[in-house]
Amino acid sequence: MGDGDVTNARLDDNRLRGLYDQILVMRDGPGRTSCPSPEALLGLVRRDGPEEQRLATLDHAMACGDCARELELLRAIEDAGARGGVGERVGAASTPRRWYAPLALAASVLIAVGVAVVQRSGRPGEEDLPRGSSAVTLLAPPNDVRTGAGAVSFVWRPVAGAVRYALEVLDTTGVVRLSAATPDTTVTLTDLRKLTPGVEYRWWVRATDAAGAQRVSTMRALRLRSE
Amino acid sequence: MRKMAGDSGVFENFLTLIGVGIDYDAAQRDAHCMRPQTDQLSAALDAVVTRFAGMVRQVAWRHRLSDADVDEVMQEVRVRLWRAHEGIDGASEQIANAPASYVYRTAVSAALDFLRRRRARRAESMVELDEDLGATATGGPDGTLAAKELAAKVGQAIDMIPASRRPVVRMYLAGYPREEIATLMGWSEGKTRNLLYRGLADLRERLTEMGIGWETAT
Repeated sequence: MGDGDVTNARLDDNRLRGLYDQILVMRDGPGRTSCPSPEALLGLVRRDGPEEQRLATLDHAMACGDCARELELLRAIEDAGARGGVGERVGAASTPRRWYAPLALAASVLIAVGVAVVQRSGRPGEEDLPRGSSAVTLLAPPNDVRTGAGAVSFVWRPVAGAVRYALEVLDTTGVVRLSAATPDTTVTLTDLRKLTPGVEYRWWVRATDAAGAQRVSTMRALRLRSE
Repeated sequence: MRKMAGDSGVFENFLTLIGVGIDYDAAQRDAHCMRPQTDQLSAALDAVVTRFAGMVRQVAWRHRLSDADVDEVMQEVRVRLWRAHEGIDGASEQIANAPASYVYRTAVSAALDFLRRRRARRAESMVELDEDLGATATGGPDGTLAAKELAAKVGQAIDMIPASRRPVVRMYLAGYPREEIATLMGWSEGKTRNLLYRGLADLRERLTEMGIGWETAT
């Protein structure tokens, strides 16, 4: 197998992204001597330090599956801190100390109620899933695609040992709007009436093997074009 | 039951013999007093940690993050808050009224420790992850090898993109929308778009030099 086999290859965005997923898997591993420290990843999230240094950290993190997941964990905590109103109280029995504190408290209650609703109406069995794993590689449609409202074909790579796949399309609160199960690696959804054109949704695929073990894909954004 | 009472009697005699007395009534009174305090502290911790974890989880879902990681960090947050307040009068009220910044700082510190511990653990254990690659590629052994070779070429082409644009291209290929790239780096939409397009042009040029065509929709 020489270079002649890969030259003259034709790629499109989906194939290139699939190959990029593969590159991350190839580079994933226990040897992490060149990885930036957790503090450097936190600096990237907080935009601390010179841009050049942050770019170098980001460049590594985006080429290293382990660092990418660690970066996302820190981003999630930072975002949650920002959403929780750092400096305000998270408890119910807080004493307003500033004129806008009641508003912040009301916002916190709304967020808490929203979170509770999302958790209650969450996807069944979600707690058991190793999300973020690159076990199922999504191929199409590409991330954040704006697609026609007629029909959408979802394609992913086969997973060794998988006997069935479940596709879910969720809204931003985590409620499943569309779902399908198949033994194949492609599903075409033709009835998209439950999706509102222009609104962002997320989709993912869960692979189940004969023993019931599950592996899931990352999530991709999806919007229907307003036509 | 009788046996237990007998055993405790022997144990009590032993303690009396060595000069240590046990005031069982006082111990029981303490236990009764402590239990409601412990329960209240536990409930207050649950409320605070669950609320913060809910917010992390909601963001984590957008970030395609593993729930297991979030769970482990939140468990650590709970333990830290517990240790910091255990045995303190009015601990449950303190926890319930804890500023969000306090919980957030605890979470950041717990996350950093969690990542350090996990890295240390992984450095000790060798894991063969490359096996999966062959399993997920299609087209038999030849197809697998060709796919690996093509992926390696693409990897080389990406590595040749100038450092100022390369991370943006990587984020794009990893599926991040442009807005998220701009937010993470603190760039304007225009700057992000400019760097991404130039980076993708670089990548196309490198791939073309390698004899690999790329038809992009971007």
